[in-house]
Amino acid sequence: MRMTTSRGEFLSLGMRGGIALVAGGAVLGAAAGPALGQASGDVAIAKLAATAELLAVDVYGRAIDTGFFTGDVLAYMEAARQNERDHYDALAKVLGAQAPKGVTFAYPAGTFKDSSSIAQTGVALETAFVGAYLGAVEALKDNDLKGVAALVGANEAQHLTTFKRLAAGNALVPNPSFPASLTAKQATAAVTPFLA
Amino acid sequence: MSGAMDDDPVEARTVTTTSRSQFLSRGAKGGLVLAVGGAVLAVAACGDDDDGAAASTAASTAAAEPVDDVAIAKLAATAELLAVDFYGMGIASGLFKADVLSYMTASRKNEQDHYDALAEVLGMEAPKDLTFTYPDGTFDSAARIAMTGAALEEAFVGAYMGAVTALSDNGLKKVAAQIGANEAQHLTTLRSLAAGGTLMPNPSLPKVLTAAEATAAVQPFLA
Repeated sequence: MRMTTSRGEFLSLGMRGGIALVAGGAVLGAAAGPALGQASGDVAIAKLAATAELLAVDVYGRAIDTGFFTGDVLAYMEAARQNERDHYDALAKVLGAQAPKGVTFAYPAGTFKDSSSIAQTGVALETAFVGAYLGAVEALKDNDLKGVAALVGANEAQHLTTFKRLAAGNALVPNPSFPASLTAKQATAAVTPFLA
Repeated sequence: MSGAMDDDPVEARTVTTTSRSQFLSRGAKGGLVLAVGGAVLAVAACGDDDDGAAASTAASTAAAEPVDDVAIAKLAATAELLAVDFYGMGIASGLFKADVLSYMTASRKNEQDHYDALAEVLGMEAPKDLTFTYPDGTFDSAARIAMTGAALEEAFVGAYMGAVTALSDNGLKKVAAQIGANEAQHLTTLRSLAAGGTLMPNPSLPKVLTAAEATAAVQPFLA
């Protein structure tokens, strides 16, 4: 497992503002906004969002490898992994040489023990991703990047509602009218169970 | 998914708020346009949205008329009224049961909440008491309802995604992104319902509609 940012650095970023995602031992902090007072905020957000996408690709890949999913669910999971790869590729294109690569992640024991635990983990992570991207729409400076963040967030919201459905035994589950936009503190709380 | 979907026809309703020629004219000029039946919902903007220009007018590159945040919010509110009406008609059809019925009921509430939020911003300018018309057979079966709903939601998502970059006010950009994300959730569910409950993959980046694309997408709904 390789850490991209220390836990201490993450908590510091979280306290200062912006958006933070944490999974396993890997720390993904998209920290921006007036509280940071950094001109390079957009790059930091894109870099850390790209790390989050690598995490998502990893989660879907591990879920597919379990063999628990078949038929349309398996096809959906493979498509969702491709979605995440596409998101990463788009962000990496923006970042160029600064794009994160080769990051690995750790998960709590039992995360992939059955389809239900995978779905529940997916709900937690996708909730954080959606909230982070919605927060990024507000925090980013570049208007085109705001548009990209909204698009990626909408796709993650689709993943989220599908994971909710799978976690509920394939029953449709209503969604809040306004998906939560996470602050750094809220995102930290949401993903704390994933910290190694 | 446990909710059965039956088949029974229901009645459609009609009121025209803008003529077809007006719709086509607006669509040709630029921005995002949604049209259903005789009702026309134009989210027409793109253009400048620099920080500090929240109250300024953002003109479409092609549009002859300037369109500002109020115009976008007003027309988005009209779209939400259509969505509320559509889900209401779907529910009233009696074709949905159990978790599907609950989902449709919750989705109608989502749309009402979106409208309420936009109406609060708009105050007296908020559109009210609109009615809509639908092509014959729209509510004849659960599959038709789901297919129609998916087409509408795809247009809504595309319109809201376009609004994120078109709006001037940063707070409204976030609201548009939030509503668009919720509409995207409706979209993926309706696509699945239209496919008989099978999970359907989604594009990695939802489509952002141009005026021409939105016009083509909703052409079947024009009276």
